[in-house]
Amino acid sequence: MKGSLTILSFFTLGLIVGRYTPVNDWLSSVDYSSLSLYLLMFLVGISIGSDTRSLQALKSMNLKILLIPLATIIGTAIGVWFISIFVSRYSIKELMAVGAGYGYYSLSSIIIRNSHSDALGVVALLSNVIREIITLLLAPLMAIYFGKVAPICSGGATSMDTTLPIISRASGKEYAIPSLIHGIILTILVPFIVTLILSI
Amino acid sequence: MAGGMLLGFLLRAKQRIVSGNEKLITYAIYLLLFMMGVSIGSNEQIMNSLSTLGIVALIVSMGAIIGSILTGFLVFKLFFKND
Repeated sequence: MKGSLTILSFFTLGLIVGRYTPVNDWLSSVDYSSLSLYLLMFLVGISIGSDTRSLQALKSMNLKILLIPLATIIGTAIGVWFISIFVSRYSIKELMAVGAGYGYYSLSSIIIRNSHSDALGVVALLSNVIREIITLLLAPLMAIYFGKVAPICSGGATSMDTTLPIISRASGKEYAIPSLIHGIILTILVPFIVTLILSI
Repeated sequence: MAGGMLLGFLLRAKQRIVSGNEKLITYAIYLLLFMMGVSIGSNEQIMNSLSTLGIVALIVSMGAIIGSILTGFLVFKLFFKND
């Protein structure tokens, strides 16, 4: 939660600076965003590749675990498809791309902003931060009423780091490794799925 | 990203580089989101519709969470319950 609040405060600080100072006019002459996105993807790649936990988790893996990320992807798509009936401002494709951030707000919002628009980037940032916060708050209730897999699916990509502690408390330690694997798989898939949806 | 994953795998024993990389990612994200804020803050049109965008964001998160909880419930019932 602290992480997402820090992110939001940097973003808010940026909003204030952009609104009341001419800083943006100086910056807009340089195209830093695509380059920095590639750099960020590279760094995220290093971090996933060097994570020794994932290798250990893979060794103890039961193929059944792969059903969990599949459930998250399908469930998110169905849920977003359903709510798109109530949102006239954006097309189903645009909303699907936001949903496909799976809680990974930093990367998904930057990608969506780069390849679509500033406004949809803001929606992606807020929506995915909200997904993380709701999971942190409600994981115990989800585990009680909807089974021990539900908090993992709700957490999306964050189930490997920020929401992992609460998930393993709510669902039990035996769900920590499925949660970790689920998060890693979705984290890797986010850039591909978001880009794919926007390019259709 | 694939290149980064390979490099990270090769460097996995060098924990100092790895933890330095984690810090670098955090700072890169802070910087990028700050920049995103600056660009959006100077965009009058988006600033005026910020609350609408927030409501859309909330609706999308609700849909995404409820949808994935339900499919998660299904997977749990069918495949995990008897473990």
